[in-house]
Amino acid sequence: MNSTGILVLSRLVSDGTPVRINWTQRFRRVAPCRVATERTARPVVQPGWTRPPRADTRGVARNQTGRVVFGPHPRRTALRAAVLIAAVCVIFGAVLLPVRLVGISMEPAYRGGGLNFANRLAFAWRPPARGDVVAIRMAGLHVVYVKRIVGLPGERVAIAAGIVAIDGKPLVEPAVVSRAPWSMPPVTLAADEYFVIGDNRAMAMHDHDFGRVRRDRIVGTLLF
Amino acid sequence: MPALRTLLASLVLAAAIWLAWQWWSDPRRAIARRLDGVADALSAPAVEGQLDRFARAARLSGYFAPDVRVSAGRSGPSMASRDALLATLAAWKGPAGGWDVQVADVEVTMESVTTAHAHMTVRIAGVEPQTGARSFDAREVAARLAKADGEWVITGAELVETLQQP
Repeated sequence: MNSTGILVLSRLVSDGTPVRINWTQRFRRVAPCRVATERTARPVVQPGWTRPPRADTRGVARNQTGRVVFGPHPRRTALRAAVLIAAVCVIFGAVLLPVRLVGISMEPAYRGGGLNFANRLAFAWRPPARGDVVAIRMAGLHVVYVKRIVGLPGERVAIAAGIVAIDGKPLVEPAVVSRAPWSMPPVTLAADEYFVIGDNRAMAMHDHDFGRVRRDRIVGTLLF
Repeated sequence: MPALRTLLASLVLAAAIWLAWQWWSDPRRAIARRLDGVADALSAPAVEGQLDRFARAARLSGYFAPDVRVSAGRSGPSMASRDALLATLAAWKGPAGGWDVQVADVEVTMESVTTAHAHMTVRIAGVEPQTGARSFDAREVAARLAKADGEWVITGAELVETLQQP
């Protein structure tokens, strides 16, 4: 008999009145708590009963040795925590790249200071497409560019009077609100190159980083 | 059994010491530390007196070879000596609130025992004291280093165009 049982029994012996037992200790294959009398003070073992009794203690509690336990089933809680930590490590290590936006080059769609995530699996099953807002790595992933793809491999991209032209045809860009008269001579993209540019065309052209980028530098697309 | 345990513990200890020594004496680590030192010397506080500026320039000179070649891209300036580089850096007007330079994603490739190549992202963050606006810029840099008199010095550096403009 465990210490709780001895405690309860000693109380029953001392005054003889029924008490409600709070079985905070974990029991396997036992019945739920019930009002205890002298005859039912011991937990009743029922074959086939696998669910442990629900304890009143939820969240952080102390067991009888004074050790802090988390929840009524510390092992399960620890397993859940381990699974959660592993999932977070996998998600943020291989799938989602947190991105804090800095600067004005993607306004008005993306403002500086906002937090976003780059989905690194976005292009696992499809190639980058025109209009995708993508993260582009520099030497590593600590700093990335966030730009919009306007030109695809093999296309001829030019800018005249602020209007982007693809293979000589003006590109419709709903995300661009106002345009400064940028100008760029035509450039033909290689088989693994994309042309990326920010949405904010109202800023001076020499202050805006844009241009060709290789496919292997594109990390993924922004989530929202 | 105690002898076996002692042997096992000795082996583990020896392996740990060997690993620690490998880590500690790895030239890539020394190069990364030197690049951090360069970034630290390039950073400037909001208020910097003339003496501080000279001291910073003197510190910087120790990180570069006398015949260092620096290229700031196709449209930027090129320098072929340490003195020219330090003069350019001294004349550079950064944000009035000071600026902080950091290197990130440093990847060092050893070419030989005394020469190496480093690829990194250099971040420059500053604050405009009047408006409080934060400025941020980052560039990809490729650097060549050589070991001279026991210290790694930069013999060449050039900006890498992440986004290539025509």
